[in-house]
Amino acid sequence: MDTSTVKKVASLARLRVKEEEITTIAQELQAILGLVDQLAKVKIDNTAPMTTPSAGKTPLRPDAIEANASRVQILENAPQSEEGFFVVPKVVE
Amino acid sequence: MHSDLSSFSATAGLQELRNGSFTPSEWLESFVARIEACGELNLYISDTTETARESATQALSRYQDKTARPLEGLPIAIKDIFCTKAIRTTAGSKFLSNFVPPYESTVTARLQEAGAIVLGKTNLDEFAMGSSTEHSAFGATHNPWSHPDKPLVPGGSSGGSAAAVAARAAPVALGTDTGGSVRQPASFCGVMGFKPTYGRLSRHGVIAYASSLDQPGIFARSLADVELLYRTAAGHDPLDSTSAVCSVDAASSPLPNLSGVKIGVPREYHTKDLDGEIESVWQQGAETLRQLGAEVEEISLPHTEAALAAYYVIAPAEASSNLARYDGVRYGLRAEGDHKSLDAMYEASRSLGFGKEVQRRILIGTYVLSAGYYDAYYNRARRVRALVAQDFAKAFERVDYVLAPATPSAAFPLGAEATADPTWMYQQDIFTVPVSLAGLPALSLPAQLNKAGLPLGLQLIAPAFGERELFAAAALFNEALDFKAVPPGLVASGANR
Amino acid sequence: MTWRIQGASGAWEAVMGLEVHAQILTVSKLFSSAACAFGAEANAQVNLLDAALPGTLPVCNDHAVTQAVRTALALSATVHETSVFERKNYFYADLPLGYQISQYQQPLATEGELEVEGEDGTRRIGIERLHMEQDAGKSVHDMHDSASFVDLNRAGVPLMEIVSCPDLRGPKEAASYLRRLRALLRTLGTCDGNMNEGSLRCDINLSVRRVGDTELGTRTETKNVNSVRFVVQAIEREAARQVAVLEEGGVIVQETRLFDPNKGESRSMRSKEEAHDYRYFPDPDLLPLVLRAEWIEQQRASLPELPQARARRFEETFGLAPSAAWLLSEEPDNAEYFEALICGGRDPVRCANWLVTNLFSALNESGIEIADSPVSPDELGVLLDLVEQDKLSGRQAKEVFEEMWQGGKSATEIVKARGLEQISDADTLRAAVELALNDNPEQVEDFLSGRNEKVAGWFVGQVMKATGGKANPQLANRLVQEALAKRKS
Ligand SMILES: [Mg+2]
Ligand SMILES: [Zn+2]
Repeated sequence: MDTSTVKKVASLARLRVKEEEITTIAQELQAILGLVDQLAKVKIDNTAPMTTPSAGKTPLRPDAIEANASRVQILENAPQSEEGFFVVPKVVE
Repeated sequence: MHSDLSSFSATAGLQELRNGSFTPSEWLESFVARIEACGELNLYISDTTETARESATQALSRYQDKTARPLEGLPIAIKDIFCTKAIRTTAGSKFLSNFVPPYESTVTARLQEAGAIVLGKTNLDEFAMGSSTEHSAFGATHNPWSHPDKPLVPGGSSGGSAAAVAARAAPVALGTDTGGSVRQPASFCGVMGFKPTYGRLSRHGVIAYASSLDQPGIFARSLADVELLYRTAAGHDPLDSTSAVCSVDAASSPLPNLSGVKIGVPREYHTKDLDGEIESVWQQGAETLRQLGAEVEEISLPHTEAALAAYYVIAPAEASSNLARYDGVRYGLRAEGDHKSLDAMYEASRSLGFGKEVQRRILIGTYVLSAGYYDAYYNRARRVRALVAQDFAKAFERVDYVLAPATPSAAFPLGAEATADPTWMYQQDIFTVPVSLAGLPALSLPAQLNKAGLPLGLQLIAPAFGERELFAAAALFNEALDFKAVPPGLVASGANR
Repeated sequence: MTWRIQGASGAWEAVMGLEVHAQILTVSKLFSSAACAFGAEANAQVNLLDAALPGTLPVCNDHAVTQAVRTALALSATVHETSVFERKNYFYADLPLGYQISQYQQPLATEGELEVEGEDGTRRIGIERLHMEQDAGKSVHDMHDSASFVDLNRAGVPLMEIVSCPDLRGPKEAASYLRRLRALLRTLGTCDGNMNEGSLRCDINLSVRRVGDTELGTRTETKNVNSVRFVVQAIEREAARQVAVLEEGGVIVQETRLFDPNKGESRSMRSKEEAHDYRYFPDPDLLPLVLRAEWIEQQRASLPELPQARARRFEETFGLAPSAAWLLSEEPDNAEYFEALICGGRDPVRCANWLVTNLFSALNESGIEIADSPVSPDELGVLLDLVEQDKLSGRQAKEVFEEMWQGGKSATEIVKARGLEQISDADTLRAAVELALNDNPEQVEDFLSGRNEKVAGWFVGQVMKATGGKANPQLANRLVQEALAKRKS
């Protein structure tokens, strides 16, 4: 795991890594990958991947409106809101 | 009036409430006092004493009206990862330090509907990521078994809950177990820790770490308490698509002995890091089971080591996605400042709000899912997960339960992790993670103290949805283990009934 | 003729596929029980899950599944008994979870087709896949200088993404594809097809190559093309742009372009193009979507008559021209109106012509949906019957229809009130003819002498004038001819 990979991954994850910490982070992540690299040694043959221990199928709910949460509830924890909207720094498309 | 009501187990205490030996308020105050006395252990992030006192008063009138519900007046501690309506819920993160959920999790709702009273929200590793409760934005929790000059960790991530039950700052507590986060701290703190089959307890309202692994769990000092809470909270929840549909069976009935029961001891759990004292506790546990009439035989779980690798791919992968919602837009922390762009705001807020370990796991999780690495890591890990589940399935064709240590060592000193590489801590999960990957029920029981006077735990693992049988066997085993020790400073009253 | 772009160095062809996002018609969202209705105030139709509150979990809407399955079946696609919801991870202000729940490796349905009317006649366009996913919220950028405003009402609204194969070759085909897909969705009732409200949105994947080349060129994706007219416009512009770039020796950059309906142009979305890596993986909060084969067959068996089949039936059974047959089949309400009008034995071709020429233009002009037409099929039928019985001329019928359109009165009432009823009584008209002949001996002489045979028409005009335009023109003509012939002998 090199520092440019760390930067790329951090940017994908929207995390800011300090320049002076990148090397340390790269080493830590490399250590984790060292542990994880045991996966490569396992004979997996045709084993189908397992996503969840739950057997069966996803349940379906009837198409009904239960209750919209109130606007107050939706906005009450928001760091910034105005006129019923969440407010974020300007997005330039 | 009893001098120390905090020593009563949930079951015993509820019986006394029904008998009228003491009132819900009196029982509550004994815990409030304990919480206060244990302040330096940093067990709770938030306490809810005021509302608890009101609830205790109402509980008394229900007893007087004869409308008391099964858990009427039972104080419970809740890991601060369960959303509790109108009560701040932080997940141990700076990011959520001011988050007040407008809704209640299913599990905490069911317990409260049965009459339980919330004592407070306990400390944890941030977003349940850790095995020491040191990774909390609200400071580390100390193990009640610590020497005054040498603080120990309570384990994690549900360390606050485990330590609170051990320190009698709660009779019972809720935790969550993703890769061992109930069973490991239970073992470090000398209490029982139970993780049900994946899907038994609803995840609705539980702040997610890794969705396919997260499962609410229970801490208690008596097996009857574990079963009581489990049976009250379990059962299908239409709000959780992964909630098991099959119904929770009737309470377990006591067995006379374990004759005809087969116990498997996995060969691969004799790892190089396994502490010698734990090795011998494990052997003695097997011997105890034999004396109870069980047949004990060696089994093989060949993908044990690979399971840890698979876990540290799958859990961070899911976490990296589950934690993407923390962006400072709708709730939680937003970094101050004039952000040049939306992305700049995201990066500033997330880097400020998340601790190091969380950031590390998000980075690893993002990496293993990203283009070019997906097959080598994430897909391969899911295949290994299937093999781990198959290992257990094969084992359970031959045996009824698996007996294993809960942890490779006793509680370690606070700050130990800082000196080692991050994977040192990950290795602590070697005995708990395979069970989580397979989604099986497992119970961690305190077995003995080591030479240093610290508790050591053993795990009894059952097939999926085998809770009833697990409780029946564990009752005899627990009785035979006869663990009565209490943390220094507490009096071993006969009240751990 | 196949569509060609004439470049300086020769002819080029375009290869296109459309990705259509259609809002599935449901009352609640795909994974939450919040409402989906259009036009609510900001953040008024949001549940805790839609705002991605910690601890909330998705539960799938069964009607959304049924609707998507019916659409897939109507497109002759294979519906898979097992499909999987995955997370598409990316950060955006109106994407509360930080991922979109979509289907990726195992979509609901694959391998369908849709017949279109194209540059070279009828062609079958392949449908690569149909999958379900959540919509995102909406960011409003023009409410503030330095801030964007986020409304989550749309967040979590169920969508079907319908992806065509790169089979389209021209703007006419693409327009037909979109029109026919919309007709299909509306007939099924699985999407209201309302492009203004964003219920149906279209992205165009387009590349060009020299005529005769078989390899595909680099494609661009033009997003946000939300009307049939704009699809034509966007295709023409983008194909021309690519040809120009290539002819100048440039290369096409694989990019996403954003269509600006005001300018009729697209521009590169360079700012968002950096390193997309969606890190799809199965959503561990949901289990696989599993459908029973018998249930899928039940859905197939209960599909309504689809627009194309209906158009074919109108052509074959009623002898309608293909264009009229399609116009009347495209919208379920059109077909319903037409079939109500012809029931009771009215001539289908005449009825169809009347609808296409008169009713549809009236609807267009006033911007009214046929379902809300002020003239019902029964009322219109009465009017057409009067024409059929020679009681009204075509021109009169139009006048009457216009008054009926204004509302309130029936055809019979208007005819009576205006005294419009056509005179088809032969005796009355014969008297009028005699009068006209007697009053104009010169013109009669012109006819008899053979100097001007066309004068007969002039006499019909006189009769019309004398009857205030009410004479049945065919009858008047016959009687004039008879009367003149009688004088000749
Ligand atoms: Mg697209
Ligand atoms: Zn899409």
